[in-house]
Amino acid sequence: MNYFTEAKHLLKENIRDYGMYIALAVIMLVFTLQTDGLFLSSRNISNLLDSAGYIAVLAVGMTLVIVIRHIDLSVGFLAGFLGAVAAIFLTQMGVSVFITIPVILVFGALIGLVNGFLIAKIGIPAFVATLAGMLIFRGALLLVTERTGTIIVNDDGFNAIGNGFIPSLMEINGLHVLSLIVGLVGILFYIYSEFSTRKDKLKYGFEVMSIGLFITKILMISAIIAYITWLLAGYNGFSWTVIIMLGVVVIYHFMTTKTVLGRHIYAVGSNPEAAHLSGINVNKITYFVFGSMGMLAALSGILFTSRLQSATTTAGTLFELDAIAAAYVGGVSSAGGVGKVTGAIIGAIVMASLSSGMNLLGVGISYQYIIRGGVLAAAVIFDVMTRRKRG
Amino acid sequence: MVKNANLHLKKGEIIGIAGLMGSGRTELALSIFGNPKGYKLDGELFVHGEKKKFKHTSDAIKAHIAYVTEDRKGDGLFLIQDIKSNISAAHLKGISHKGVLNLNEEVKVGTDYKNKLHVKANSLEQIVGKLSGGNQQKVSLGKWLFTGPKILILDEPTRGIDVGAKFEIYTIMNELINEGLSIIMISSELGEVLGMSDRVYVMAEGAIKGELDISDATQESIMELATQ
Repeated sequence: MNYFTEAKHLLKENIRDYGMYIALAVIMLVFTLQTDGLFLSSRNISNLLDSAGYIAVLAVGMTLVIVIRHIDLSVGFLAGFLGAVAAIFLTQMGVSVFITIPVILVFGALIGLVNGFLIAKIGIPAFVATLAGMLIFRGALLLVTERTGTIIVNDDGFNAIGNGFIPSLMEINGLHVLSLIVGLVGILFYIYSEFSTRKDKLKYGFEVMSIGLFITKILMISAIIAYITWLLAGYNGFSWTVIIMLGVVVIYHFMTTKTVLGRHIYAVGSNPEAAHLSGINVNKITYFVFGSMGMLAALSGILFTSRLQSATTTAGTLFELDAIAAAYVGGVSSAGGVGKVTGAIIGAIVMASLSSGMNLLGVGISYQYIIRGGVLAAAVIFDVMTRRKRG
Repeated sequence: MVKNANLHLKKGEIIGIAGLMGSGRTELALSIFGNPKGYKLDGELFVHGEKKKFKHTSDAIKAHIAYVTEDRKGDGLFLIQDIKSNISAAHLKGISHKGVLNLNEEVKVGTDYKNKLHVKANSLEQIVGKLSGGNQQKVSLGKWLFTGPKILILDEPTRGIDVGAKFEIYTIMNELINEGLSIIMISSELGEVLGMSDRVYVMAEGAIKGELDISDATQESIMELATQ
C-alpha cells in the first residue's frame, strides 16, 4: 500500500473516532475566519478551556454512566450543593483548603455510591433514582444557602483552582516558561509512548503502520500540542483548571482503555447478561461507575465555585444536561458499550467553542440555543449513520 | 424449577442431557455454573472430590467450569465488540498483569484461538455481530476455552448453524475430550446426543428421569423417559 491509500484507508476505518476531531477543527476554523483571528487568540482559548472545565469533568463521568446504559440527572445540583458545602467549610467553619477538597470528593463518591445502590441493588431505573436525587440536591443547595444567600469565598488557594495559572518561573518574549516546559514534556511523553507501543507490536511480530505515516501522525499531533502550548503560554500559561482536566482525562483514558476494570465497564454496557455469565460482577461495576460520577460531580462543583469565587443558590442548574450533550457529541451511544473519555472532553470543548465563538460574533442567546441543539442532533445523526454502515 | 437431579461426570467423558424444551436442562446447567437466576439453590457439587459452593459465576470459572450458552446473541457474546475482546472477556487475568492489560498478548491469544477453531473472519478486529452463526459459536467456544476449563457445559452447541460448522464443532469436542476435558452437552437433537455422548441423562419436568449408557440409548428409549 502506498502512503496515500494507507492514509485514506485509516481515515475510513476510524471515521467515527476522527469525525469529532474534524468537526472541532472545522468549528474552530470557521470562527477564526469570522472573527479575524480573535477566536484563536491566546486569551480566548484560555478562557474557553477554563469555561469548559466543570462540564468536561462531568462529561467524562457521564460517558461511563451512559456506556453502562444508565443516566445520571442528579449531578448538576449535586455539583452545586457540594460546591456550596465546600464554600461553607472554607468560610464559616475555617477548614483548610487541603482538607476541604478531599473531603468534598469523598462526599461526592459516597453519594454516587448511594445512587449506584438504588439502581443496581434495589432496581430503580437510573432515570427515576437520579431524578429524585436532582430534586433532593436542589433542595439541599437552597437549604444550605438559605440563611446567607450567595456565599463569597475569600480563600486565594481555593479560588486559584478556577482562576489561577501555574507559576511561570520566568518569561521569555512574553511566553511563560514553565507552561512551555509542561507542553514539551507532554510532547516527549506522547512520542515516547507511540514509539514504545510500536516497538512492542513489532516484538510480537504484528503489522504496524508504515514508517512514513507513523512519522506524519507523530508530527501532526506534536504540532497540535505545541501550538496549544504556545497559545496558552502567550497569555497566562496553563491554568489549574486545564491541568486538572488533563489529569482527569489521562487517568480515565488509561482506566478505560488499558485496565481490566475498564474492559468490565464496556462489557457490562455491551451486554449485561453476557457480562454476568462471563464472571463479571455487574452490580460492582454499577457502584464503581456511579461512585466515580459522584466524585467527578464534586470536582465539578469545586471548579465552578472556585471559578465564580462564590457559591450561589442556583449553582449547577442544567449542568447535567450540558454534560449529557457533551457526552453525546463526543460519540457515546445510548445503546451501551460505546463511548470514549477523550470523546467526552472533545464534546465539551466543541460545545464551549460554540458558545465562545457565537458570543464573539454577537449571536443572540436564542439562536445560540438553537444552533447548539442542531449540533447535538447532527452529532447523534452522524453516530447512527456511521454505525448503520458498519452493521 | 429443578429438583431431584443427580449426575456425575468423569474425566474425558461427554454426557448428553436430553429432554424436551422447558424440562429444566438450562436451569440445571446454570445452577452448576453458580448462577441460579431468581431461584434458591439447594444441593451439593463436588469437583475432583472437593465440595464447592459458587456464589457467583466468577467462582465457577475459577473452579475451571465453563458454560457456553444456548442463546449466543442474547447472553453469550458481546456483539458490538470485536473477536479478540470477546475471546479474552471471561479471562482477562490471562492477558493482564496487576489489572493492566497487555493488548499485544490479547491479539496473540485471539489469533491462536481463531486459528485453532477455524473462525472465518478477515481480522481479529471484526465485530462479532457480523459473523455467521457458526463462526459466532466458535468465538463463544474460544472465549470459554481460554478460561482453561476442566468441565465444559455446552448448551445446544449446534443450534442455528450450518452443517459444515456443525461437523467442525463435533470435531473440536472430540479433540477437547482427548485433551482431558469433560463435557456436559445439553441438546434437543437426538441424533447429536446419540452420536456424541458416552452416557445420556434424560430430564423431564425439572427432574432427571433416567440415565442411559450409550449402548442402551435409542431415540425411543430417550423419548420414553422424556415424556413419561
